[in-house]
Amino acid sequence: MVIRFKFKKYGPVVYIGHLDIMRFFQKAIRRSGIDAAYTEGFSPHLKLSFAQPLSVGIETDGDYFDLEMNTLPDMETLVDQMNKQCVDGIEILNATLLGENVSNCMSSVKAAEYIYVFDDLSGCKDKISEFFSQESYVFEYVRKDKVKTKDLMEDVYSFKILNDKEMTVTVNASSAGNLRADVVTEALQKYGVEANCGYYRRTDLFTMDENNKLISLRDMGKVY
Amino acid sequence: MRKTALSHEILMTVDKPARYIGGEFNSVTKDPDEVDIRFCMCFPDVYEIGMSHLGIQILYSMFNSFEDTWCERVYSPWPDLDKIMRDNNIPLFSLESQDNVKDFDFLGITLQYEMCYTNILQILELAQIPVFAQERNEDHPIVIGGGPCAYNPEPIADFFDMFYIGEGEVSYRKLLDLYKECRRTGYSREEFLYKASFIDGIYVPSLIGVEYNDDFTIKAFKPLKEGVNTIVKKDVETDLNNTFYPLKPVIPFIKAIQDRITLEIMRGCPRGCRFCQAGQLYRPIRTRDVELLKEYARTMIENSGYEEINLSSLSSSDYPELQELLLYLIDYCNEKKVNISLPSLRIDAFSLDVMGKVQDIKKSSLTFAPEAGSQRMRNVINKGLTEEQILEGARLAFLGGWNKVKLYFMLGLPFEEDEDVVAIAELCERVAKEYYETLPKEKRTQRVSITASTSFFIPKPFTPFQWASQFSLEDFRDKAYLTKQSIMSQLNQRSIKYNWHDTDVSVLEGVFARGDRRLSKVIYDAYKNGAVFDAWNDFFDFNIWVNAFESNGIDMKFYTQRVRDIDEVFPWDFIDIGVRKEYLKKEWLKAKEGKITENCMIKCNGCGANVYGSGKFCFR
Repeated sequence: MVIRFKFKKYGPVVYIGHLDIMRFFQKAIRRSGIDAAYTEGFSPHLKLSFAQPLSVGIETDGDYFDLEMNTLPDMETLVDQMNKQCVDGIEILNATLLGENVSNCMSSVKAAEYIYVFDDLSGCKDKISEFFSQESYVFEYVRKDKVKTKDLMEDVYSFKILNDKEMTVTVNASSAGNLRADVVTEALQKYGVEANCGYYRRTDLFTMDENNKLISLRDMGKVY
Repeated sequence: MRKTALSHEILMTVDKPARYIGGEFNSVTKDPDEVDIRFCMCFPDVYEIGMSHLGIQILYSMFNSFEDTWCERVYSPWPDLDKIMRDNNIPLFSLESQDNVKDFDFLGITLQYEMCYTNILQILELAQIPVFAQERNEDHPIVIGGGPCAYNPEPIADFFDMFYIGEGEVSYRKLLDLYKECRRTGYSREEFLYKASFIDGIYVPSLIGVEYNDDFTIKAFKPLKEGVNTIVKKDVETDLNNTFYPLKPVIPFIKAIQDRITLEIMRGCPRGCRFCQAGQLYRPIRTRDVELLKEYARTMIENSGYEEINLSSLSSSDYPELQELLLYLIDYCNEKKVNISLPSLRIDAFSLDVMGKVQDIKKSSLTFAPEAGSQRMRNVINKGLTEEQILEGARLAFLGGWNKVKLYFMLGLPFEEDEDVVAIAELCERVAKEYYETLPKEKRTQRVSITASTSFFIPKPFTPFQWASQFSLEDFRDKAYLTKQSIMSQLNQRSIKYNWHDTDVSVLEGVFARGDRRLSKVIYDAYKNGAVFDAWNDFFDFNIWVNAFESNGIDMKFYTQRVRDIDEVFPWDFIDIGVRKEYLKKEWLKAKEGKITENCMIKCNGCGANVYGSGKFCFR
C-alpha cells in the first residue's frame, strides 16, 4: 500500500535543493515512527517517489511524494504526526491512500499549475488572452548557457486571469516535456505584455486520465 | 515566517544557499526579549564541515538548556558570498535569528585545526568586529576561543578577548553568571575580563604578559594586573554520565561531512603514543556508562532520523564494554534500519565478526595504523603494535573475505632514518605476501589491494615530542620520494597504492602548532594579502605566507626546525593540563632510547592527570 503526501513549501526553505528536500523527508518519515517499507540489503532505503523537482527559490502549494508502507498508519492523525517532524516552511497538507494500480507520482505527473502575481494586469488582459490563443508560438530562450527552442503552445494547457494582479497557467510537467514556469513570463514579456511579474509559485501537480483530463495528483484515492 | 539576512537575489546567486538560512530541524529559536545573553557559536570553516562537529552540538544544547541564554550558530561564508557581503556592506549574521553577529554578547569560536586561523579573521572582519581584541569596546561581543588549538592559543592571542581551556561543559555557567552580574552592576569590559580570569580554564591574554630572551625564546610570563595567576588550569568534565549531551542534534538540510549520529563513548586514550596530542590533552580517561549509551543511541535515532550512527572516541577498542555495546547496537539498529559506522578498531576475531555483520565485506576495507614502518620507530613513538599483530590481523581479515587493506604511516618522526622509511614499503609487501600465503589460489577472488598513506609528522605542544625538531620541506619531499621508490621496488608493488599529504601545509601547521604571540601579526598580514580557507587545497597559497613571514622578519624554522633545549620555557607552558612537563620530558628521553612505556590499563605511569580526581584507570 502506498500513501501520497501533498506538501507546501514557503519562506527560506525554498533555497534547499530538491535532493536535500528528499533527504529531509526521509529523516522526517523515520522520526515519525510510521511503519514504512524499506529496500533489502546492507543499507536499506525507504521506498519513496517524488513528483516533479521544483527549481531552487520557488514556493509551492502542491508538491507530492509517494511512500510505500508495511502497515497502514492511523490516516486520521497521519498528517499531524508528520507535521510534528517538519520545520517552519515545510508543511504536509494531506495524505491520500492511493487506489490499486495507481502509478507513482514521478511517472504519472503530466502537468503543473502556477500562479503568477503581477504588479498590475489591468491594461494587458487582452494581450495575454491573445498570446495564449495562438495555435503556435515558437520561442527561443537560454538556460544554463544553452539555447533552447520550444513551441510554447504545445506545452501550455490552459490559463486563467483571476483578477487585476493574478493569473494561473497550467503547463506540461511530464518527464518528456517539462516547461519551466519562468519561460512563460519571459515569453509574455517578449510578446509585448508590459506588466511585470514579480513572483510566482507552483499551486498543484496533475496527472491525465484516459480522456486526457487533468486530475490533481492528490485525488488518486481517498484523501485524508 | 522566518526572515533571511540575505536577499532573494543574493541567495539565488550563491552556491548552496541552504548554508545560510538556518531553520534546521532541532535548531533552537527563542524570543530575544526573554533572554539575557545572546551567544553566537562559530566553527570557522564552511557549514558542511562545521555542522559535523560534535563539540558545538554539545555546547549548543547546553547553552540553550539555560533559560537566560540563546545560543545560535555561524560558519564561514564561502568566498562567493564573502565577496558579495563586502561589496554590499552586509554584516555577518547568525543562522537562527539572522541577526548581526556584532550585536551578540559573546562570539565563541572553536579552534579545531591550525589552518583555520585566517578564517577567524574573515569571520571577525565580516561581522564588523575589530580584528584585534584591544580595539574592541563595550559595544562589541566578547570573543572567546576554545577547542584543541586553544592549548597553544598564543599565535592567535591578539584576536581573542579570552580563551576557554578545557571542556566547555564545566565553567560556562559560571562565566555567564559573572557576565550578567557585571552588566547589572555596570562593570566595564575590562573589569569583566579581569574577574573572568579567576574562573578555572579562562585565559585572558591581555592580562598575562610574555617576556622574551634575546633569542626570542620565552623568559617568563608576567601578570599584568594584580592577583592574576600566570598558570591557567585546564577544565575537565569529571563525570561523563552526568553532563550535557545533544540528544536532539541539529539536522542540517544539506549533507554535512558527518551525516550521522555521533555517540561519544569515552574521552581520553590509555595508549600514550608519543606523537599524539589528543592522547595527552584529554587525560584522564573517562568512559560513559554502557546502559546510558544504549539509551542515548535509542533517543538520538528517534530524534534525528539519521540512517547511520558512529561511535566516537580516541581508541574505541579500549572501551571496556565495547562488545556489549556493539552487540546491542547491531540488534537495535538492524530493527531500526540504521547503519553502524565502526570506528577504527584493533583487528581481532571479535572486530572482524562485527565488521562482517555491519558492512559489505566485498566493498569495505580494513584499516591499520602502524604509524611507522620499523619496530624500532614504533617503539620510539610508543605505538604498542608489533608486526606480528599487524600480520595476524591481516591474515584473519583475508580469511574473513576482505582483500582491501589501508595502512596509515607518518613520515618525519623524530630519530627517523632512511631504513625506517624503507621499512614502510617492506611492511606493505609483507601484508601483500600474507594474502598469497593465507589464501590458496582458488580462494583469491580478486587481487589484494593495499593502500599506504603517509602524512608528515608535526610536533605538537603537550606531547613528549614537543621538544623535537620538525624535518624541513626538502626532507619531507625526499622521504616521500624514498617511500615511493621503495614501494615501487617491492615484488607485489602492483598491489600497493601510495598516497602522501601535502608538504607546504605541514610546514605552516608546524609553525602555528608551536608558535608564539609574535605570529598574530604574520597571520593578520597573510590574511590581508588574501590568505583564507588555508585548509582547502584549492585556496592555500604558500607564497602569501612566505612573504608575510619575510616582511615581519620572522623565520619559520625558528618554530619548526630549531633544536629546543630540554629546559626551554614554551609559549604554552602557562597552561596546566594535568599531565606534568616532567612526565613529558621523561617520555621524550625514553623515546630517544627507543624504550616503550606501558599503557594506562596495564600500569599507571604517574603522568599527573589524576589530579582531577577522575579517570577510569587512575584509581584502583
